[in-house]
Amino acid sequence: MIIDDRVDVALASGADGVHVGQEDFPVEVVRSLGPDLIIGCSTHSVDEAVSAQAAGASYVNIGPIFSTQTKSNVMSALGPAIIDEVTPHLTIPFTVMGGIKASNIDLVLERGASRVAVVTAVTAAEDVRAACAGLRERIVRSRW
Amino acid sequence: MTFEERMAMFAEADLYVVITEAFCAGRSSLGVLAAALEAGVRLVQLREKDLTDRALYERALRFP
Repeated sequence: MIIDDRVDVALASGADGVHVGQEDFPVEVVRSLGPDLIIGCSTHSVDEAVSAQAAGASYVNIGPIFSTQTKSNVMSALGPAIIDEVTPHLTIPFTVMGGIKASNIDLVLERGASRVAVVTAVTAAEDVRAACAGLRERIVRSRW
Repeated sequence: MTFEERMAMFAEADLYVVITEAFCAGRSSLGVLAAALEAGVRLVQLREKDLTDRALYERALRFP
């Protein structure tokens, strides 16, 4: 279980990790506070991803791939091509996020994404369990 | 868990479900979490910007 932003709550509650954005505590500061935590960092460009990796992030998120309403600072969608731009620079794992759902997940899977972050595609679905199972199956199948 | 054990779990994850109660269509985040776990989801993020520290801490304790 990863907690967004709050390294204090993550440490206090025994979470497995923290996810920080470009406006949150720097990755190296989080690492100094929690040496055993998974640290994820939200990145939107090659530079940000490379910097996060250099600072000791355990994984980077690349996004927003498609347009999304779940962030208050609405960024323009970067499109799936960002995955091809960023991933050659990475030695750490990456996730992708931003407006991903059943109708467009292939566009990230075909570019090598194998860890896909979703919010409303699942959390606002009428049948959450089925929505999760469906997306999981697509990801697992694409790995073979 | 050690860092290595955590990263091994992360490596196996496929769907990463980010849970913010406001985006749960009127349901509780813990209910949505339970349904995701039932579907075999093993990587979740608790993302809440508007809870008090104590409420967030208590919710974090109830996440896996």
